[in-house]
Amino acid sequence: MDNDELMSMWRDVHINDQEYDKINIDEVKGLKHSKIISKIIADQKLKMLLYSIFLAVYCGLMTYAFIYLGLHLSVNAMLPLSVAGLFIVIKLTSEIYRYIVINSTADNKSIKESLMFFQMELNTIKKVDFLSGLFFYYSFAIGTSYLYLKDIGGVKNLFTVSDLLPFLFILILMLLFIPWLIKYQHNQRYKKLYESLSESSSSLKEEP
Amino acid sequence: MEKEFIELVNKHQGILHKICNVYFYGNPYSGDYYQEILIRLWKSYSGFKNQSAVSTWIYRVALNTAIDIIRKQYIRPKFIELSRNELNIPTVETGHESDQKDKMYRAINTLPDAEKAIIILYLEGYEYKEIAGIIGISESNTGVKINRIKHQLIKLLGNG
Repeated sequence: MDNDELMSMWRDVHINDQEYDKINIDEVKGLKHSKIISKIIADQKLKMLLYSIFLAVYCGLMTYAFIYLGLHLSVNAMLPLSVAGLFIVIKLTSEIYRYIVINSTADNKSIKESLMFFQMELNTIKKVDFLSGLFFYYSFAIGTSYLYLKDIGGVKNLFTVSDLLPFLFILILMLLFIPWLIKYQHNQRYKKLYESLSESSSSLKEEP
Repeated sequence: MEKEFIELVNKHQGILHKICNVYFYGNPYSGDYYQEILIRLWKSYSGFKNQSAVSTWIYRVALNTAIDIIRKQYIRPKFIELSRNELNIPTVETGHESDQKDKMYRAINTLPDAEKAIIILYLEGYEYKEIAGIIGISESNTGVKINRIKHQLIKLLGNG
């Protein structure tokens, strides 16, 4: 088979293509997206709504407890509450960014420009996920360490209580591995997308 | 504006169906993706100011939409299912021509998304300059890529 045969084969397989139905402009005009894309967006909106409700309930409860009832909790009790609040805020932020990316388009750009645009958007998701994840896990680790240190009577006792050495070792490992773990999680989640983007990106590079 | 758009799309429907086949061949949701392409064409039609040929604009929007649909599904990888009634699942052709078509689309399907766009434009008879404009690469690079993709496809079709 030579080059011309490829083109004629393309023409041959489409020679008997059926007449397509005329488009229904009212249907097209009335829709924001097709069914599948609408479902993807609705699914994302639902996630955002759920985290917004959690956040509203959380803020409501905190306001009721601390302002209306005037509760004074110890640091030990405050820490888990703060971590929970932080978790909800972080999840909501990352879902909002995902929604923005799902909704953004670059239809009038060239294929290469839209590829670069999408890579930029994905990098934003990556940065937001990384920074918020780092902030959450480090706050959690620091909070836990603080409680342990308080339990043993301060930093001065850290090296005298031998039972706590494994804890110290695990904590250091955790702090070291957290950034790597967040990046790994992100790369695993978007593995297929990264593969497809890098494949397309390298296929558009200048060839000798 | 509406009337012009309808005429335009009706005239170029063949192109749009070919793009859908190239990117979503055998996918039961291809009818739905075709509708998404039409919606996105309509949305960007007001912004089209005749700086390029109409067919170039249609190709650009349709190819970007097809590639974008694939990417969006990777962002929300959870499988989204619609019932068969909600979709217009096309009937499958039978016979020799269908075998050839199947072979050809399967071969094109092995290419990366950007290369699929290049080869469909070439097979539709576009000149290197126009393809380069739609894809966003240099004309000489377009020529090199087309030759490489063609050889790859010929090899695949020859072996199939």
